[in-house]
Amino acid sequence: MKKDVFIVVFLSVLLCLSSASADVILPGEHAVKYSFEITNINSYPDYVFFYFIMGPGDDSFFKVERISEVNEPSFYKFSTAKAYMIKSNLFNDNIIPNTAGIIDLNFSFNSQVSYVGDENPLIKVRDVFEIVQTIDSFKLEPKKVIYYYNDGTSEEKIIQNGKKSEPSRNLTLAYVMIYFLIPIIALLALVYLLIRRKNEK
Amino acid sequence: MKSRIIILFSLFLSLFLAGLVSANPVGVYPSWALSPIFAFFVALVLTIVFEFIVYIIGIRKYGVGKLLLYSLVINCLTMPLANFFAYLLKIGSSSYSLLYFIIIELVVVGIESVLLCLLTKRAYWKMLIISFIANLITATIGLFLIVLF
Repeated sequence: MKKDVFIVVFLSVLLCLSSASADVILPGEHAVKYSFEITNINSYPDYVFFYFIMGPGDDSFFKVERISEVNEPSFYKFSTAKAYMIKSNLFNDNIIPNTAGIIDLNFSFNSQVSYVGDENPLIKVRDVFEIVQTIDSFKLEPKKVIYYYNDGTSEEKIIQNGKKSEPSRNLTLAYVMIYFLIPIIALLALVYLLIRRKNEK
Repeated sequence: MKSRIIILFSLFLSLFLAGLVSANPVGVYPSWALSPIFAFFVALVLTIVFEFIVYIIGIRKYGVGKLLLYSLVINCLTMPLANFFAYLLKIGSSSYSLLYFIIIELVVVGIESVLLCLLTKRAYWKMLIISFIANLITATIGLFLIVLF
């Protein structure tokens, strides 16, 4: 008896497979894309707004992209972008981070926000900013966030005190039915069975 | 008979442990499923069937039809809720996925054993063992379906 159990356990341990952790989206999940908008960018025609795409893993940049009013960045998910601005006459397509006159907007972002389960209808998040002039520089002030869902609807949330509200929808209707309707029906059936069982005495 | 049950239990315990070591995160659906919802219903049916088989083996002198009904109702209650909590706890992408998975399974075992005890009017500790074995088997099968496919 003990020998049988030992053999079973031993064979089972041999069956252990090492898991492959691939750099892919897992089945059952989808990426939530990131997008940002700068509403008053056209109010600064003397400046060029752009971002450097950095990494992954280090601060070496490999690409410069210009920023327009609405931006849907698309780059490797493990890279990060940092936004800057510079006077138009100082900008060129080969600009590097140490260029004189470059203004750091203190805004970093990724091309994807996160991965969520397929039961989550969220597909895109858009941060809306406004350029604000400080005493000696500029900064991007977050104004609102827009959440886009897979049924074509969207939801705007105003950012107050720097805090971003979460999207109010995170389950599709089908999953709401699965997660709640089926158990409710089962619970009613259970109550009925228990009452009937009690009356059978 | 008892030794066969013990061997079966040991096999599934070992496979379960192996599955935990090797499995992709729980909550994803295997590639053969057409969609997550399809996969959910396949998993629900398999859970009902396999737990029903364990009920038949473990609960003597009880109507087969009633045991099938109990398996159907109990798993329709616990499985969607377990999936919901797995979703809330982000099992699959959280660092504590394994811990959360085990906690959820233990809670499910507890709830199912209580319900079985109330429905069958058998001793609670026997229903606890049956529920534990039934959920061990279904969790193991689930993990391996994900790993193999």
